[in-house]
Amino acid sequence: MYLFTVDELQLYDTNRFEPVDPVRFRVGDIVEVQATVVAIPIKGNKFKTIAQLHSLALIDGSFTEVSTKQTKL
Amino acid sequence: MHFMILQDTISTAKRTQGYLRQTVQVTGLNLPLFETCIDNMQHLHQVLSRQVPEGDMEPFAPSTSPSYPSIEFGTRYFTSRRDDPLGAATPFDHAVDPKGILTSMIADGYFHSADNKVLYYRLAPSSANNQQPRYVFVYSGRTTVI
Repeated sequence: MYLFTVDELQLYDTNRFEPVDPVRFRVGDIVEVQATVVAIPIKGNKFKTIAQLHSLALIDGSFTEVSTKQTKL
Repeated sequence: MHFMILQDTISTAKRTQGYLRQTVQVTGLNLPLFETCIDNMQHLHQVLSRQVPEGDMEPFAPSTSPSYPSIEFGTRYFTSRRDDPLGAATPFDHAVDPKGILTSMIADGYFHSADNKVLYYRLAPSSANNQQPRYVFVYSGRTTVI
């Protein structure tokens, strides 16, 4: 098993983000998520902590093909 | 924080405006950075739990499907007028609702607000520096930069 993590400093020094169509995202993509952790009231006077999604940024889609192949196996 | 997408679905279990939402499930494949993220979310959950009467907060449990810890992030398509009586309604983005199905579901009690929007971006290498994202290669506890 090979694992990767993005070198963040290098990423933000030299690159920028641009808007993209949501259909571009696939299972296996490396992404960055912006979210807010909030408590919401649910039925029965209870509360639940959820992570509300605000934005999704595609960092790298080159692993997606590998992921698709492995799913089919 | 960076993740790998596990599941990117539109939840249609309940076809009502109040529940319809877009979600993304992400995993960090047990990498320490992602474990830190889960620890932080557990900490925030504890902070929030202290704001409500004891026992009223549902327990926080990250999903472990299929085999690694993962977190689901979601945003509802509609806001109830009961929760936000004066909020401004905004149109659905064409990329999010290309066939106008969600637009046709806007009813008296529900509207699409700025809080319901999810923004989508991709990393674009700058023209000055054409480098792709660099990855730190982790194998058998040893770290090598490639």
